[in-house]
Amino acid sequence: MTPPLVAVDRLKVYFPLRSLALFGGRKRVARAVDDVTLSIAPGETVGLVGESGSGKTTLGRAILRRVPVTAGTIRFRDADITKLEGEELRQLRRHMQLVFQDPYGSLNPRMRVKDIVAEPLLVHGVARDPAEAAPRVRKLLDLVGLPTDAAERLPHAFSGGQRQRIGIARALALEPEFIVADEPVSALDVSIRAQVVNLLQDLQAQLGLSYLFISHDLSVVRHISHRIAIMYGGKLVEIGPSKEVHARPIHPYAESLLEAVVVPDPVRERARARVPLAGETPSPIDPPPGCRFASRCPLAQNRCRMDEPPLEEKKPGHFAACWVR
Amino acid sequence: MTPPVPTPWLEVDDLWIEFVTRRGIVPAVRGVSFAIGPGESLGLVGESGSGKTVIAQTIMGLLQSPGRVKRGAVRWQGKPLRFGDRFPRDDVRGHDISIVFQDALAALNPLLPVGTQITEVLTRRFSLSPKTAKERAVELLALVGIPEPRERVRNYPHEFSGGMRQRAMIAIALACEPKLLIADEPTTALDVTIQAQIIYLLRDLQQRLGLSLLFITHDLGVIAALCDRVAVCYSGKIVETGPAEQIFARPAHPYTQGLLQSSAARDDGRDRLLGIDGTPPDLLALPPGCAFAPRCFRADAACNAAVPPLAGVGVDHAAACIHPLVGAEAVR
Repeated sequence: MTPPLVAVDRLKVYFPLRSLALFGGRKRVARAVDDVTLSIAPGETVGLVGESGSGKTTLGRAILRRVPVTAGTIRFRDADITKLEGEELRQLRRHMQLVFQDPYGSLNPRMRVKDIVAEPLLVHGVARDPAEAAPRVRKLLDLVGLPTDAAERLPHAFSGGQRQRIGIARALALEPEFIVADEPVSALDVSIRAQVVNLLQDLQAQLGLSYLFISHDLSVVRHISHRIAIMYGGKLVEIGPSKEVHARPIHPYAESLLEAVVVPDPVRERARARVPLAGETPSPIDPPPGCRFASRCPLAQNRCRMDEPPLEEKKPGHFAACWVR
Repeated sequence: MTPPVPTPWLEVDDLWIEFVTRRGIVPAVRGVSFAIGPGESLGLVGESGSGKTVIAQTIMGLLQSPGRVKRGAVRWQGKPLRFGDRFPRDDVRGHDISIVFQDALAALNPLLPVGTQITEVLTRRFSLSPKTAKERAVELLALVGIPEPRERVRNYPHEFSGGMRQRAMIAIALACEPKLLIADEPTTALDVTIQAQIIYLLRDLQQRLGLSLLFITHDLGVIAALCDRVAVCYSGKIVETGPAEQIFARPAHPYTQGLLQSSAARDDGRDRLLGIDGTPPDLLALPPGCAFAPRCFRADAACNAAVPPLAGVGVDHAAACIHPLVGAEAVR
């Protein structure tokens, strides 16, 4: 087996809340990411799925060392990067990049496209001045399928899908090996999504990139990912090969999540007697003991409310954290 | 099965809406017509800029300057509705027709308890006493599936979760006992499992109350789950309309087919998703012919010559295309 490119071990990211400590209240913490272990191989795409507040975005940012880590380790190419600082951290950033969800908010409206894409090159000293960066910028724009004359224009001249291409070109400028794509197509129209998803796949094939593809859209995740990881309430509840998780989910939450997806097929939609999962995602603040999903789980037993289920290999390569299954 | 439509409740007839901007006059809606009968649900599908939300606003009398109706009519049970002066008042909007918006947090008044926002409608519409109105508000919250409605009625919107807020919005919209509910992307901002809850709720309400539904979305899956009929919008025009089963199984317009194929939900294991190349046209520089022609794999000179009208391609099924997909081509 090839060694993983990224390996996260028992990672915890807790956010302290401003509490009423002044009045003798207890200090409270939000457990955004709680004891997550996960690895990503070179050239692999891991799809990270979960609902709002599940901790998926925080996990992505923590791997990139953009939020403080409370406990656990993050390894990149077998080096511990959990505590890197200063120049070392800056060097690390060249290898790991982020593609944002919002193609409108993430590009400076006053900068021309060529300057947006050249900025990482200049910041990291790969190019000394814009003129030196220019040939590389042209190549990058070509790589993501933008016309050459895009370089001189401002972001507002572009549609959402094209802006996302600009964001991808910027992320690729430093030739990273690993990209965290946080809901990269959620803000795009349906007919445009496919273009960007295909582009990300082409780039992976050409450049051997690894992706952590964060999304709440299960259909896109299934399409693009080799493995799917499902988070619930800060916990990783299931991870396994994409098709396997889709066809035979183990965790009851994974099952409900897949069941909740509506498909564009009226015959199938009408035929199914939908009994949606009741309740809502629990608060990450002071979670109850036991399984985070127990309060909504149709299969929950006493044990589920007492002890936290560990993530176990239930089938070869397919892990889930559930006492019942 | 689609029920026959004897006398439609809502009729939108050759509606043209434009926005006056510094760059020029934007033709946001260009000759849209449709009708919704009692108990019927119509899904209006389209991407950003297709004009779907503007149509909903105009029906509700919420179209704001610089938008204006250039021509056309909206009728309720045969009676024309007024547009024009800001928020025209009549006894249809907010009585027989009400609306649920996408962003419940923005649509609710943050300074009033949710219950008050419901009783406001009840006292205005039915002249109920405060006590009866409050009882009715609790019933409405229970109807939309809010647990402990008697306590929740006193809560403010920020004390509700996203899904609960959307339920509260629906409760407010139902307070006036409408015959037609317009839902403008009501599930788009919600998580998947919460979206499923809201779809289930709307379907249940539709059956129990005999509501008509105009459902506006970009999500074909939601349409498939909720709507009898579909109208597909592109650049301000309806390019295809018909029964949901027909449209999803045998799309006639290449744009509809492209949309269906773009959806990763019908992934059949192929390596690449089939998207639609290019982007929607600038409404200020529309091509002379079919607005979709520049992105269409079937387009030829004829498509660029004149705007194709909606023409029948099957029973109750029409497409605005010179070269509609037929027979074996019409696969999704």
